[in-house]
Amino acid sequence: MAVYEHAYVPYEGALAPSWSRWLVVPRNAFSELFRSKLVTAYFAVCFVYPLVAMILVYLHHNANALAIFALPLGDLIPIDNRFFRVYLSVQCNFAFILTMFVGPTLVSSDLANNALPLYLSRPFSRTEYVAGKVTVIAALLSAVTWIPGLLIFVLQAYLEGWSWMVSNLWIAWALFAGSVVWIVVLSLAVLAISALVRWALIARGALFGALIVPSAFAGIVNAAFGTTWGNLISPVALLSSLLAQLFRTSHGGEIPVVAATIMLAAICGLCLLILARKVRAYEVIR
Amino acid sequence: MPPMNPVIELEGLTVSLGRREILHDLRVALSGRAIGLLGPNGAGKTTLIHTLLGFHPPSRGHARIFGEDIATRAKQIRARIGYMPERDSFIAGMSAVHFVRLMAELSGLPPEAALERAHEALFFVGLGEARYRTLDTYSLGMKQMAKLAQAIVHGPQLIILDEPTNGLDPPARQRMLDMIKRIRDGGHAKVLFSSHLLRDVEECCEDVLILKDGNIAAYCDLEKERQSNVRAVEIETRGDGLGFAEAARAIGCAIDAANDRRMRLILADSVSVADLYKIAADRGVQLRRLNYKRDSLEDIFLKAMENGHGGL
Repeated sequence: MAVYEHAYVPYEGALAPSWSRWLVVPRNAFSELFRSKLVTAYFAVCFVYPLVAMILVYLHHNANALAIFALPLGDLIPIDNRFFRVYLSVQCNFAFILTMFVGPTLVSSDLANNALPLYLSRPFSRTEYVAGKVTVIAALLSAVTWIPGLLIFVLQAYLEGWSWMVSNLWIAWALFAGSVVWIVVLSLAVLAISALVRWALIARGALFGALIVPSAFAGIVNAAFGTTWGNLISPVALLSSLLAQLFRTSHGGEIPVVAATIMLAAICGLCLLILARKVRAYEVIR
Repeated sequence: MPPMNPVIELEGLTVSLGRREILHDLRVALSGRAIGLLGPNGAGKTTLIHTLLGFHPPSRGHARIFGEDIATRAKQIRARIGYMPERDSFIAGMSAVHFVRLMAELSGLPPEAALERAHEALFFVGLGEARYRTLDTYSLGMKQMAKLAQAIVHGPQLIILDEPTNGLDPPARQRMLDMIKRIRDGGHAKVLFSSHLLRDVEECCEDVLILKDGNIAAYCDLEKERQSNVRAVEIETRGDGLGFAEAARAIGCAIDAANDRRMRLILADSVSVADLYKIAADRGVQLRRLNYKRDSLEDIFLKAMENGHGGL
């Protein structure tokens, strides 16, 4: 229908493939998110540490540059599993703050404005809706965690040589797996909280409370009972245990990796359960 | 006999929310270009709409839209439906054109086509000049129009409108009804129009389904229903009105709502209006007024409410 005709005419053109429909949500969300200067600025800040890490790797392999800065090689941090473990820990913290900026508005604004019936009255399922929203966070967090991490690994492998890469390939896996676990936990937690709390500011507070406050309780439990099992209630400590195993930096004080994995899976399960109950066109009052 | 190519078929449709049964064993085949869905508050209109959209699963029975079962083909059916919800539904901070485009893309339109259709739909509903404003700044009437635009942007074959005239002032209400009539008359889409405003339904719809307490109280073709009552006349008399009524009854007229001045007569096939004039003349009764009375939707609705479920 042409605008000047003002008539109702059915659409007879081609349709996008149904498998690709969930991508509409992240595409739209990204264009909305990056309209905020604050989010854009913070997203840029998240790349400062990877840049520093890349410079360090470069300096390790460039005698001229070391000479210019008058840096003895021995004073530089060694590029090993600990280097990458520290990199990922730092980036996980940046990722957490980025999630607090971006995540809480993703579902809560749709719930507060009663937009879910509009999404779900179309050939678009609840699963696709959640997948689309998870993709928004997962893509942003991937961009600040494992993607630059692997680039640093590749740079180091390129400068150090093939044999280094072959013998340290497990570090690349640790970078990827550790990041993915944290991304999945953060994405589901923030979506579940934003589905429960319809106000973005309160949802931000709730996310902070849900992930950080348990760490304090875990510390109290550990101190009171002289154990490390208190870490079971702290998602941050659970991730830390997992990273220690993945990067082979364990000092024996962590909880077993199996227990940490089960607890993180339970947290994800709980979040999915909340999403299954709350992401509906209309909530049925029983 | 079910009508040809029904838009919506309900076969023993029962829907429970929690432990409460809301819709009870609905059986009907709805056809026509515009179907009105009427009923008092709590009759189950919105639950029926939500069930047709796949929001609530049927606990028993089947519902079909264009012959496809909602339980097994929900996604395919929703691709052919446009839905305008009753409550305010939008995405905050978005311009109308962005919002309608997003909705078109979710219905499967490629981005370029979605943008083009979004502009066209907004012009169609009269928001062309305001399409770049954010929805938060819209008045209630404009929001209703934006909701209509998102319901039609993908060119659906069935448009479900849940209380579309709610909260509109008279000119906006008339604009909305005119648009619904234009969609109906265009013949490209069927309309299911849920409302508790009888005049709106009467103005736009040809068929009406009336629900009461989750049951079908009536389903009728409004025009046929009116035509079946063409032998009803309303009379106002002066003089011996009761005697006139008695005489009319004697020649086979059915009389309801009679008093000594006003009465409503259903003429038997063998009786003509001339016979009534003759009776009046014989008894010295003046006929001050004689109108053919066609049942309004209000009469049909009230009758359905009195009869409970089971039809007129």
